[in-house]
Amino acid sequence: MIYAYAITAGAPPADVLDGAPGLADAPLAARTVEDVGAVYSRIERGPSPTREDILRHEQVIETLMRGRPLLPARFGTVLRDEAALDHLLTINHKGLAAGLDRIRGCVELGVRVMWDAAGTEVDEADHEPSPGATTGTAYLIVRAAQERRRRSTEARAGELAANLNRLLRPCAKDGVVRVLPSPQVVMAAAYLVPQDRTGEFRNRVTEAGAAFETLKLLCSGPWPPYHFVPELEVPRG
Amino acid sequence: MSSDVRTNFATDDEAQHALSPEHELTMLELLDRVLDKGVVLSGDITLSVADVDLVYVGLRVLLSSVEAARRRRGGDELPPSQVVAP
Repeated sequence: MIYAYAITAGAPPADVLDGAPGLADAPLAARTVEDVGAVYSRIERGPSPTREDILRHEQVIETLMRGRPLLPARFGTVLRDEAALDHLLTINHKGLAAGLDRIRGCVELGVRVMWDAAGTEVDEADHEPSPGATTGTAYLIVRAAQERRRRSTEARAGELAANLNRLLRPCAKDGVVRVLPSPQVVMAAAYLVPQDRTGEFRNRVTEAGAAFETLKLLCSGPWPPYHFVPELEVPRG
Repeated sequence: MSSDVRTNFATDDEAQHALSPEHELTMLELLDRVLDKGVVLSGDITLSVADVDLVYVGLRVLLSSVEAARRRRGGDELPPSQVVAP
C-alpha cells in the first residue's frame, strides 16, 4: 500500500523528500504526470488517527509546501500502489493543475471567533426546560422563550460574522465562513491569503479584536490550503 | 480581544504543543483541516467516523484537564468558551 500526502507542482527536489520522513519514518517518494506531482510513502498498515500520525502527516506537508504550490491530501489517503496513483493523477490532471494555479503564492489563515465570557450567548440552562416546567403551558412558555433566544443568537452571530468577513475578505483571494458551527463559536473561517498580505490580514484580525470587545478572536496559520482544494473524480469501492 | 497563533508543525517540538490551551486550540484547528478537508484522492479513506470522533473526544478531555490544571494553579483562567472543541 502507499500513503499519499500531497499534490505538488512538479516533483519536489530529492533533498526535500529526504529531509521529511513519512509515517512510521518511511522515506518519501514522488510521482509525476506531466507537471503535476504526488508525494507518498509505502506503508505496511493503514494510518491511525493518533496525535503522532496526524502531526507527522502535517509535518510532511508543511515541509513540502515551502517554496512550491501544494494541495494537501486528506489524512488517511491510502492507495493500492503507484499505478493507482498514476491513474488518479491522469484522470484528474486538469482539475489538479487548475487547483495548483489557484493557490499559487497563497497560504491559508484560520480565524475562529468565540463569544467572550462577559458577552457569551451560551447558557447551558437554555438547553432544556427546568424540571419544574416539564408539563403543560409552563413547558411551552419555556420552549418558546428558548426558541426566541436561539433565533436571536443566530441572527446576532450572522451579523457579527458578516461584519468580520467584510473586514477580512478584501485581504484574501478566497474565503470559507461557517457561522455558529457550535454554540460557543460565532464563526470559524478559513481564508486563502497571498503570502505578501498575511501581515495585513493579521493586523485586520487584531483591529477586529479591538473593535469587538465581546468576542475572542484566534488567528491561526499559515496552513496548507486544506479548505481550497478541488473536488476530484475518485473511483469508489 | 485577539490572539495570533503561528503554526509550524514542521519544526516545532511536539512538547511545545502539549499543554498550552492556545496550542490545543490550534490542534483543533489542525484536526478540522487534516481530518475533514484536503484533497480526496481515494474512495478508501481509511478512517471511520467513529475513529475521528474518538480523536475529538480525546482532545476534549485533554482540554478539560488543561483548564482544570490552570484553575488549580490559580493562573490566568480562560473562559470556558475558549477551550471547547468546535
